[in-house]
Amino acid sequence: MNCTEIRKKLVEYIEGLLLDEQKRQLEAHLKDCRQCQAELDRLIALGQRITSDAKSKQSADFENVVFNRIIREQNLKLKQADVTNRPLQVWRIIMKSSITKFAAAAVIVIAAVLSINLLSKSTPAAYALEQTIQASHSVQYLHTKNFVASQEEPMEFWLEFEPGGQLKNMRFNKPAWMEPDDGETVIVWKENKAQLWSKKKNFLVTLRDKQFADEVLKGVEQMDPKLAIERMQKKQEEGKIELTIKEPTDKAEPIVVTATSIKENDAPFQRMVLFVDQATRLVNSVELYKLEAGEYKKAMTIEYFDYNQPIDAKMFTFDDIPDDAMRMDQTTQEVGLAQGNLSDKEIAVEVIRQFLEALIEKDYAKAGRMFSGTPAERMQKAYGQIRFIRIISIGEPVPHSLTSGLYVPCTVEIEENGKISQWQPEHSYVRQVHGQPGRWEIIGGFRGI
Amino acid sequence: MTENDQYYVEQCLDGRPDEFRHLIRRYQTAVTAYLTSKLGNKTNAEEAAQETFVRAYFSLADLKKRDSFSSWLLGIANRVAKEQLRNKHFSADVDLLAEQQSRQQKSSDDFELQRAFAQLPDSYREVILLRFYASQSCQQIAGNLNMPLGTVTKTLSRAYSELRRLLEKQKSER
Repeated sequence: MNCTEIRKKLVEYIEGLLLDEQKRQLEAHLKDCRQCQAELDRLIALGQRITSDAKSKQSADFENVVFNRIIREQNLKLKQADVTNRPLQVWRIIMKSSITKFAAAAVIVIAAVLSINLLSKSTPAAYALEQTIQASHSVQYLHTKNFVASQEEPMEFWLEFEPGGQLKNMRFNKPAWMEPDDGETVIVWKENKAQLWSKKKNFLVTLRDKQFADEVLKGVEQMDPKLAIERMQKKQEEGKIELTIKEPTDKAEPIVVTATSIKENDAPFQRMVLFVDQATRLVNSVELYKLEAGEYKKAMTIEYFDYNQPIDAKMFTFDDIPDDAMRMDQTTQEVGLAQGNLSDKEIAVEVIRQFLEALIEKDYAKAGRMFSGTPAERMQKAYGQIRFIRIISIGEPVPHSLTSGLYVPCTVEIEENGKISQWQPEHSYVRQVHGQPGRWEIIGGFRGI
Repeated sequence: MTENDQYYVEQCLDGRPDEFRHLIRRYQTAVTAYLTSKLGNKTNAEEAAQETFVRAYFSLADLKKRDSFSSWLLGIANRVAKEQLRNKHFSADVDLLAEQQSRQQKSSDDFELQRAFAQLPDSYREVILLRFYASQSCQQIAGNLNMPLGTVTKTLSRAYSELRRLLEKQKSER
């Protein structure tokens, strides 16, 4: 290659995109050609100059500032549309826990329930919503399938209530499309403990988390049609929606209750249709519609079946988990680090530091303890291919509203597939361990585990 | 290690606002740098960058080509910058940058570079932003801008030359 050809290849060389043979030729040329070597040096220097300018523009709390603004504006929009901002708040609380993805389903249901808050009570039809409430009073078992438009596999729930109406057990079969990474997942809620089983990952997590539990219970309770309609009646506001009830003369046909928002607003669903069985007055199914470009498009269907069909207790246990499955029990294992006399920010930095040092030393058991009690084998599987060389920096922690913890920016030098690079994890969040007072842990996000 | 832009855009549209954080993190520096070059002032640029992301979030549904988030985002940044310039009557031309250079707000700010950056053609600037300010590899840029890898490296190479020419020019003018 002559000088002109070499110059054309310099950027690809710097970017590591040349084939071995081309690279060899180019390096041979550089050895003998001062001008080309000088040109390469100038390009590298310019790159470094831009990189350092980029660093000067990084701002640790930019993300939080922007996101908090988004949340504020969204809440404002919801309020302006006379819709409670509850779904968003619920999201904010439960989003960040790695096993809470199933709450997504519950939240969709909450959103659905909220959208009927606008129903008007004044209806001349012979059928009255009270009848459905009455009919639902004795329901102790509930089985639902929630179909989302564009997805074939439904979310499936089994709920068992105490005679007094409180939730006793819940099982949620979460389809793979909700979290392709975990595959199909089963989540069981029982005795204030949540267990998640991912067959694909061969992984069973147990946790007891008060805040999480409260939110889940709230979400699940709202799938109870009785409570949903009661809430709807309680919060009803006249004139906000149009309500129609069609009561077919053919008793085999369901009563159709359609609630449509009059105002265009930011409610998650602008139309809700309840199908009520004429004989029992129980809700058979619910359809939720979104208004898109002037058209009501069906977003979700909730099918209620097996009212009061007792659910086998086996549905709420994990009896057939393989012996080699990873088990992670946060209710028995002490995780994270004790805070001692350190301030919140100091302990957050310390947790990150010890975690990274454990990875550098390949002490996966210790790294796992910092990382929500993940088993050592699991950590090794996720991190074993990467050589952690050194900690370049650990920045000032900033409060992180979603996790109610701290985001700790950090940079680590790593070697992966023979290539050395700087790695800045995007989710280095540290917070207090729920149920273990005074201890702090990393709550995930470093790398898919 | 992380998902592509389209994935996060779709997650947000699916009602998971939190996923937008990934996109903020990924592009905050690029957008701030872009706006610094347009507005010539770091504080204004940061405010405008925040506004850019907020607007982007609320118009995600309008993003037709979900695989070209970064170009779309810079388009919004450009509009925000224009509005700011119109509203506040401050000019973003290179003279202002030169003026600030003499004031030396902060020693870490590379005003010469920003000045040169402001004069780069859009296509060159975009590649530099993605490569250095959004820390993307050439392969990722190729994916994001939907162009062949060879075109990315060629554009990057030309952007370097142009930047150097502009920097040299500044030197000789001083």
